[in-house]
Amino acid sequence: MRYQHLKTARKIHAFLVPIVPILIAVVFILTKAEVPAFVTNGAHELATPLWSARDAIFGTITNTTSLFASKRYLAEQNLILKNALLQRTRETYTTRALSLENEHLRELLHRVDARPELLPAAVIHGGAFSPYDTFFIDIGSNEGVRDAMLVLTPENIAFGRVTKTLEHTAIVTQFSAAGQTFDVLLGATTTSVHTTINGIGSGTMLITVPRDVEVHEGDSVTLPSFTTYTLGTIASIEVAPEDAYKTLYVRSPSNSYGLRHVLVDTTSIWNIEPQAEEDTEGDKEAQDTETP
Amino acid sequence: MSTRTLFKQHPQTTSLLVRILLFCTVILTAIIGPWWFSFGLAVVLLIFFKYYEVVLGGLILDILFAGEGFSLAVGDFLFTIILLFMISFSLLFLQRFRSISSL
Repeated sequence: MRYQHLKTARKIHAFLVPIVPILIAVVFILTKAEVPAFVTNGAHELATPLWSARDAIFGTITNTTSLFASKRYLAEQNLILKNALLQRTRETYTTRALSLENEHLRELLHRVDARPELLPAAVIHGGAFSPYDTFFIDIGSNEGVRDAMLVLTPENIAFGRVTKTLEHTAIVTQFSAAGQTFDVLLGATTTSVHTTINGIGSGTMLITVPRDVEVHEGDSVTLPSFTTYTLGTIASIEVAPEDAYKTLYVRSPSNSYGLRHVLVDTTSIWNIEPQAEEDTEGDKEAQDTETP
Repeated sequence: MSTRTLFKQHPQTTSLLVRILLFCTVILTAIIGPWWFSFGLAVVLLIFFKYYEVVLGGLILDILFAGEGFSLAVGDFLFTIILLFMISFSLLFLQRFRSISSL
C-alpha cells in the first residue's frame, strides 16, 4: 500500500517538475519581461573590470607576439601599411573637397548645419561577443547620454542608437539588429526614394522596393535627416523574374567587430519600433521616426 | 584529511569539481567571451549532462546584452527562456541520456 503511494507520488513529481520551467518561461514571454536598468547597471559595474582585464591581457599578448615576428615579415607589413596609408590619404583629400563643396552648397541654399553635439565614447564590449547585435559604450546618463540617441562611427556613418542608458555605460543597438525597422532614403541624389529598411542581423539590412525603381550595387542609403548620415551601401540586388518587387541587401561600411570608438549625437533622437510591435501598430512606426 | 584520501573516500568530488569548473567556464565566457560559445556549451551541458545551473549563463547574457526595443516579441529574457524550455525538454524526452550524465 505504502509502496503504491510512493509510486503515485513519483509519477506526479515526474510530471510536475518539467512543467515548472515551462511555466516560468511562459510567464517571461507573456509579460514580455524586461531587465530592470539597475540590474543591468550593476552587472556592467561588475563586468567592467573583467573586460578591462581581458583587453589588457590581449594587448600584452599581441605586443609580445609582435616582438618575435621576423624582420622580413615586419618589412612586408610596413610596406602594406604605407600603401594603405597613401590610399587613405588620397581618399581623405576627396572627402575633404566634397565636404567643402557640400558646405558651400548649403550656404548657397541658406541651410547651414546646426553643429551637432557629438560625445566621443569608447566601445568596451560587443561585436562578436554580443548576441543581440548590441555593444556597450563607456559613457552613460552621467555624461549626458539619453535613450534613442544616434550613434555614429568616427567616419560619420550612422551605426545604431542608444537603447538602454545606464549610469556610466550605455547599450547601443545596431541598426542592422534583427527586428529593427525604420525609414531611409535610397540614393543620395535628387531622385532619392523614401523607403523602409529592415535589420536582419550580422551587419546586414534589407530593403524591398518595386522592381521599376532604378538602383545599382554601391548606391548609398542614408537616414532621412537634415545632416546626411550614411547608413550603408547596397551590397547586392535580388530580383526574381516573376516578382513585382526586388530585394536589396544593404551593408554598413563599418565593421562592428573592429569598432573601438564611436560618437553619440546628442541632438538626434531616433525612435524605432521593433518589427514585432510594428506589425500590430501599422504605420505608427513611420510617424515615430523623428528627424533632427 | 589529505587530498588523495578525500578523492578516494568521496569519488563524487571529482565530478563535482568538474561541474563547478564547467559552470564557471559558462559564466566567464558569457561575460568576456563570445556569446555563441557560452550558449552552445550551456545547451550541451544542460541537455546531455543535466547541469541545470547553467541557465544562469543565459540569464547573464540577457542581463548584459539585451537592450530596450529588441525583443523578438518575447521580452529581454530570450536566452533564459530557450534554456528553460531545454530543461523541460531534457526532463520529458531525453530520459535515455541519463546514463551519460551519470558517468
